[in-house]
Amino acid sequence: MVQLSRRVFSAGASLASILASLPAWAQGRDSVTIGWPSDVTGWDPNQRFTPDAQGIYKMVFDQPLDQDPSLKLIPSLIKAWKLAPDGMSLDLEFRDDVKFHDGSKMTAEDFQWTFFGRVAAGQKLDIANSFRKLTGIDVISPTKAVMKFNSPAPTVPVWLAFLGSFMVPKAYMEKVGVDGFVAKPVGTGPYKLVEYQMNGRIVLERNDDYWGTKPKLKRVVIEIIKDPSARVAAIQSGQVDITVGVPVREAERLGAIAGLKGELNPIQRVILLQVRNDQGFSDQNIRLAAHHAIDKAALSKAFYGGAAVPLSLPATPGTPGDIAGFKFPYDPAMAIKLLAASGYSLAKPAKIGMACTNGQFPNDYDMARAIVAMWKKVGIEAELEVIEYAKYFELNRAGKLPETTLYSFDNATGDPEIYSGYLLNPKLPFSPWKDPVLGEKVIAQFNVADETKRIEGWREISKEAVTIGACMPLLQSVQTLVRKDGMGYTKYGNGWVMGQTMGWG
Amino acid sequence: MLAAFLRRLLAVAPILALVSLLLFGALRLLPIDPAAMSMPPTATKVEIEAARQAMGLDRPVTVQYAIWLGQTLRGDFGNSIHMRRPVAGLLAETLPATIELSLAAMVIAGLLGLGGGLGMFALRDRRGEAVAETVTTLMMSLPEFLWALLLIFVFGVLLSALPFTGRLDPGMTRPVVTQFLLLDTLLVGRVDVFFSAVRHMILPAFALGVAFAPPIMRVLRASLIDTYQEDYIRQARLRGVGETRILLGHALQNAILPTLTLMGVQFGFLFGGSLLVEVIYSYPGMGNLMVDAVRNADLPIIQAVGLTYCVVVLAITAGVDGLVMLLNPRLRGT
Amino acid sequence: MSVLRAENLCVTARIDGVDVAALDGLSLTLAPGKVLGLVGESGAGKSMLGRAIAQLLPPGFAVTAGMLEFAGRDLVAMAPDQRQNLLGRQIGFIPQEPLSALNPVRSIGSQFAEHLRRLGIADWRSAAIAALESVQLPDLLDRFPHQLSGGMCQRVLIAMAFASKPALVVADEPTTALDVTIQARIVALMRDLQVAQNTAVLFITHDLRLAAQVCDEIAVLYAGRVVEHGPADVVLAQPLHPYTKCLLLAAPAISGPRTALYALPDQMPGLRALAEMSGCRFAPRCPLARDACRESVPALAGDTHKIACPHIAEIDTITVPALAPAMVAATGETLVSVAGLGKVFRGRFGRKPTIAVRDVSFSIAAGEFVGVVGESGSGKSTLARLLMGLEQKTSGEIRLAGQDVGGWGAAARRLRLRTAQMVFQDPQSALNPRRRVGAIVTQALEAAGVGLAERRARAAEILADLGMPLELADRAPSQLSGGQRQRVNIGRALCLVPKLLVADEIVSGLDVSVQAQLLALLARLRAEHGFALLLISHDLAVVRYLCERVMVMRNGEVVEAGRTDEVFANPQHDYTRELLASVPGAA
Repeated sequence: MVQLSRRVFSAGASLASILASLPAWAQGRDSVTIGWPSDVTGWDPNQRFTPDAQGIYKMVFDQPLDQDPSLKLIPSLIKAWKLAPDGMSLDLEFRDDVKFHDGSKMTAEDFQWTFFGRVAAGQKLDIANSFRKLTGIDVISPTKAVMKFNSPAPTVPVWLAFLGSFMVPKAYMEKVGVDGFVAKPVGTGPYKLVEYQMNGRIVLERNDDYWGTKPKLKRVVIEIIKDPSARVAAIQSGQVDITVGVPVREAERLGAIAGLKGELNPIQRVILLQVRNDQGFSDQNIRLAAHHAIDKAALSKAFYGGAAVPLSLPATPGTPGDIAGFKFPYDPAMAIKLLAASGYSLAKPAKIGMACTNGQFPNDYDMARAIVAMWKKVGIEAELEVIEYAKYFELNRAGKLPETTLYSFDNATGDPEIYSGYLLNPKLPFSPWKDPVLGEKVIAQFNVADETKRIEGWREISKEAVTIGACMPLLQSVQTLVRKDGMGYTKYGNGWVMGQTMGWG
Repeated sequence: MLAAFLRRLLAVAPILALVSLLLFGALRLLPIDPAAMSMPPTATKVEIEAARQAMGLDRPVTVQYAIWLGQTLRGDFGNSIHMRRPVAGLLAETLPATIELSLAAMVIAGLLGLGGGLGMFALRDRRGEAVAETVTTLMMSLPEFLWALLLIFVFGVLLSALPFTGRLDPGMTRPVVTQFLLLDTLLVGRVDVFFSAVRHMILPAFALGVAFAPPIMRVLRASLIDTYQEDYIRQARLRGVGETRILLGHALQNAILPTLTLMGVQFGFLFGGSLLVEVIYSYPGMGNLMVDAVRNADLPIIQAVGLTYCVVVLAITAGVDGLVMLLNPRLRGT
Repeated sequence: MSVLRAENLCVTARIDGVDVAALDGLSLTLAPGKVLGLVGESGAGKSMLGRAIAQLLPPGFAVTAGMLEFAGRDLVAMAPDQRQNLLGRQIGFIPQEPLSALNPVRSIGSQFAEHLRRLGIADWRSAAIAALESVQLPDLLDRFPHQLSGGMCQRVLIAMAFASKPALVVADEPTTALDVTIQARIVALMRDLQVAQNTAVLFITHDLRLAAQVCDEIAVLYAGRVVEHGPADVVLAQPLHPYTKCLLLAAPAISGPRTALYALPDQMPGLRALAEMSGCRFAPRCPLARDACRESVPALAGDTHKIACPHIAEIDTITVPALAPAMVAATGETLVSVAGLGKVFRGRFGRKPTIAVRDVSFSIAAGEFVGVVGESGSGKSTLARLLMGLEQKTSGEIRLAGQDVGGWGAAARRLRLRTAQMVFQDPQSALNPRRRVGAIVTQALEAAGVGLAERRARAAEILADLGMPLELADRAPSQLSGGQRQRVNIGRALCLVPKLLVADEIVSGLDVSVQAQLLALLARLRAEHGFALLLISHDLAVVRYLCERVMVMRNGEVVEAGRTDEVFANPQHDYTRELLASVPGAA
C-alpha cells in the first residue's frame, strides 16, 4: 500500500513539475547539449573513417598522440616517441597511469592489439589502410613498444593522431567480442558512454578517474540533428547550447540575437578544384587560365561572409606545408592572354566539363555555378554536372571524371603529406591527375624519412603542382558555429568541438 | 470470417515476393557501387575488388537474388555495408520508434479527419462552409515535410512551447525494455520520462497527422451527404429520432465504411511519409536509417527496410479491411 | 374529434419563377379507427400529404394556404420540437421500400431498442418481441436487414410503427415493392393491427382495387386535386368522376369479362405544366371535357360521395368494348421449343449454388403470346435471359425456328438475334442517353451496315407504327416521358421484325393509363406484324389481358401451364390458387 501511494505521489509530483515548468531543456550548469549534424558509425572507433565524428570519438576514446589547438603534435597516451633515422621503426613509451572505463590498466599490449592485432585477426577495419607499411609491433614492456615498417614511414606519428586511431582495450574486446564492444564501448577518454540511440542522441558522463585534465562538465548530451533548418531552430529556441554546420547567413543572424554568439572559424579543410591532365585540360594554358580567372576573394565574400581565406597552395596558413608569400594571383587579363595563346577567345571558348556535389559541404553547388560564370567571362565554357560524393571515387577509378571537380578535403592533422601527398598521388583514389612526371615525385616523397627534407619536399611539390596547373586551391573552409553566450570551449584549428573543453561562465 | 482472413494472408505472400523482386532489381540497376562504398577512400582497386567478391556482387543477379531470398526467409537480413552490423539489429532498434510515431500520427489523422469531416458536414449550406473548404484545400496542398518545418518554426522557435529534436529531454535517461519507448517508460514507472517522450512526439506526429487528415475529412463529409439521401435516414426522422442521434447513431455508422477504407490507404502513405518527418525532427526511427542507407548505397539496409515498409503497409490495409468487415454486417458472408 | 383534418390545404413550389400548387385545396377528414385511401398515379401529389404531415417537404415546397390538423392541433404552425414529439409516438409512418428503410449496419434489435427507449419503454426487449409476434415474425432482433426478405422488413417496420399505439399511421405505398402474395399478407396484418388498436390509417396507393379492398373511404387525387371522395365500395363499383372511371377501365381485371383497356391519351401533367393550366386539370385528357372546363375549377361537391365534375350525368358514356377471346396462333408452326432447360448459378465464396431454372420445357407457336408469371425469385427473368442467350444454360435444349441455339458460337448468336429480340423493364437505363431516338430505333440496321437514308426511312416507319410524332426522332431519351421511352424500346426491338419478342416486366413501374397505352400498342402491332411474345410479368391481370397462354413459375419450376382463361378460371395447383387469390379485386 505504501509502495503504491509513493509511486502515485512521485508520479503526481513529476506531473506537477512538468506542468509547472516550461521547457526545461537546459539542464543546469554542469552539463551541455550539443546539436551535431551527423552520427557516429557505430562505437568501434577503428572501424570507419568518419571525419565529422572525430570530436565525438575523442570524448570517449584517447588517441596515442594528440594535437593541441594549433594542431601541433603533442603526447597523449604516448609519453615519448622517436623515429629511427632510417624511418623504418618507431620507438614508443606509454604512460602508466591510464585506466580504461572498466577499471583495467592500459598497457602496450592494448596498443599492439588496436593497431596490429585486430587487423591481423582479420577484422574489417578502416585503419588497416592507415598503416599499410606496418609489419609488426613489438611489446617490450607494459609501457614500451616498437613499430616496425617495410619502408620509411615518417608520417606514422601524424597518423597516430588522425582518423580512426583510437586506443581500445584488448582483454575486454576479446571477452565480449566486437559486437559486445559496440553495444557497450569502453575507452580511456574523459567521458564514458552512458546512453546511445542511433540517429537520436549520445549521452556521456564524466570519467572521474581520467588520467588527464578533468572536464568541467559532468554530463554531455549530443543531439543528432541532421537537418540544417532544424539545427538553426534548435539553437535559436535554446533546445541545444551549441551547434555547428548552419548556413553562413544564419550564423550571422543568430549571432546578432541576444544570448547567442555566432562564429566563423577557419578549419583545416581546403576547397579546391581537382584537375585532370588530359582531354580538355591537356593544354597547360587552359588550366592556368582557368585558375587565374577565379576571384577567390569574391567567392569567400559571397559564400562565407569573407571569413574563408583564399588559398594559393593545397595547404592552409600556419601548417608546415604552406609557403608564406606565395601567391597565385587573380588575373582575368592574364587568363584571356593565355587562352588567346592557345587560340581560344570569348568568341571561340575552350570547352571543359566540371563536376560538383550538392549538399556535401556548404554552398558547394552554388560555388561551382559561380566559378562557371567567372569562366564564361574569360572564354571558358564549362558544363556542370552534379554527382554524389561517393560517385567521385567511382568515376575516378573508371577514369570518367570530367576535366575538373570541385572538391573539399579535410586534413585534421595539417600535415602536408595528407594534403598534397593524398591530393596528387596518382595511386590513391583522390587524384584525377595521372601524369607520371609529377606523380613519381609525389610517390617518392612518401618515403622520405628526414623531417626537414620531407616538409621541404612537399612544399616544392605543392608549388610545382600549382604552377603547372595540376591543382587549383580555392579557399580554406570555415566552420560555422553558434553557441549560447555563457558557453565557453576551446577552439581547435581543425574544427574539433569537444565536451572536455567546454564550460559555463 | 477466419477463412477470409487466411485467404488474405495467402494473397500477401506473392505481393511481398514481387516487391522484393522489384527492390532487388532496381537497386542492382542503379549506377552505384556498394563495394566501393564499403571501403574507405584510401582503398586500392584490388581491395575494392576483393570486397566486391566477398559481398557476392560479382555473381549474376538471379543468383544474388536467390541467395538473398533464402537468407531473408531464414531471418538473416545480412550486414549493413556502412556500419558493419547486422541489419536485423538495426531494424529491431528503429522499427518500434517508427511504429510509435506512425501510430500517434494515425490517431491524430483519424481524429482530425473524422472530427473535421463531421464539422464540415455540420457546416454544409451554411456560411462557414466556404471557409472550411478553403482551409482543407490549403491543408491538403502542404506536404508533410513542409508541415514539419512549419510546426518547428511556430511551436519550436516562435512560441518555444514544444521540443522538436530527439525523443527525450536531455536530462533524462532512456529506459530500454521492449524498444517501444512509451511502453518502456511506463513499465519502469517513470511517468516524467513518459510525458517527456509524449511532448517530443507531439510536433512530428502532428506534422504527419495534419498532412494526411484532409482527404479523410472530405471523404467523410461526402459520404455523410450521400448517406443522408438514404431511405432509412428519412424513416428514422419520421420515427421522431432527433438530428444528433441520426448523425451519430445512423448516418455515421454507414458513412464511416468508405471513409475507413480510405483511411487504410492514407495510413499506408503516412507510414511512408514518416521518413522525411523523422529526418527533420531527428527522430531515431527507420526512416532516418533508410535515408542514410540510400546516401551510402547500403543495399542490405535498403532492401530490408523496403520490405519492412511493404509488410507494415500490407498489415495496415489488412487491419483496416478487417475493421470494415467487422462494422459492415453485409460483408460478413452470412 | 377527427384524427386528421385537412381544409383547403395548399402545398406550393416555386418552379421557374412561378408558384405551382402541388396540392391544391385539399380537404379531407379522417375519423379515429378509420382507413382512408388516397389513390392517384405517380405525380398526383399523394406523397405530398404524408410529407406535409411530417413537415418534411422537399426543398422548395411549402404549405402556403389552408389548414392541416392532427387531433385538433395545427401541424403547420406547430413548433418543430413539438412535432418531433408527435412523430413516432402519435403518428407512425410505413415506407414504400422496406429493404432500404432500415439501417443496414445496425441489427433489428438495436433499431427497435432506439425506438422503444424513446417511447419510454424500459424493458424494450420483451416489448419488441411482442411487437414482432403481432406481425407473425419470430425473434429476429439479432438479425440484420440484409438477411431478411422485403416482406419481413416491411413487417418489422409495421411492428415498429404500431408499437407506440399511434392515433394515426400513414402508409405510403407500403406494398408496391412487394410480391402479390406477400402484399396480401401484409395488408391483412395491417388491417388486424389497425382494428385491434383502433388506429386511423391514411393508406396511399396507386392501385384503386387494392384501396377498395383495404380502406373504408377512398379519395382519388389527380394533379394535386381531389376529384372524387367517397366510401370505398361505392367508388369502386360506381365511380362518378371521369378520371376515376377511366382509371378503373384502364387497369386490366383479373376476373370478370375480358374488355379492351381504356386508353387515356398523354399522361398526367407534371408540375411545370401545371403552372400554365387554368380550370380543371383533367380537362386535356377528359372525354367529357368542354370549353368551360378549361376556364373554371370545378368544386368538390356532394355529401358522402363527393365529385369534382359538373358532368357526372354523362359518366356512363365512358365505356370500353368487350374483347373477343384472344386469338390462337393460326399457323401452329412451332417457333420456340425448349426442353429440360436448367440453369445453376455457382456459389461464390463458399455459398451454395443456386438453381435458378429447373427442368423447364415449353414451346411457343409463331404469333403466339405467352405469359410467364411468378414472384421474385421464381426464375422467370432468368428464363428470358436464357432464351436470349444472355445467360449460358447448364442443361437442356433451346431451339428457335427449329435450330439449336443453345451454343455460344457466332452462328448461334446471329440466328438468335435475327429471330428474337428483348425489351427490358427499365426504359430509362435501357436507352443510351447520348443517342437520338431515331438512331436508337434503327440500331440493329446500323450494326448491319445499312445506309443512312434507309435507316431514316425505317425510323419514320417505326415511329408511325408506335403512334409517336415524327419530330421525336431527333429528341434525346431524357426529353421523353416514361411511356414514350418504353415505346422506343419496343420500337427498337421490332426494327428487324423479329419473330419473337421477349418482354421482361415492360409495363411494371408505369402508370395505369400509360400501361394501358402500351398494352394497346402491343395488341395492334401484333395484328400488323404477327410476332410471338413471351411476356414476363408479376401482374396476372396484364397477362390475362394480353396472353392466350400462361406459365406459372415458382422456385425455378413451371408449376402450371395452359390457356390463360382456363388456368385463371380453374387453377389446379395450390400456388396458382394462392396467387390468384392475392390479387386485389379477385372475385
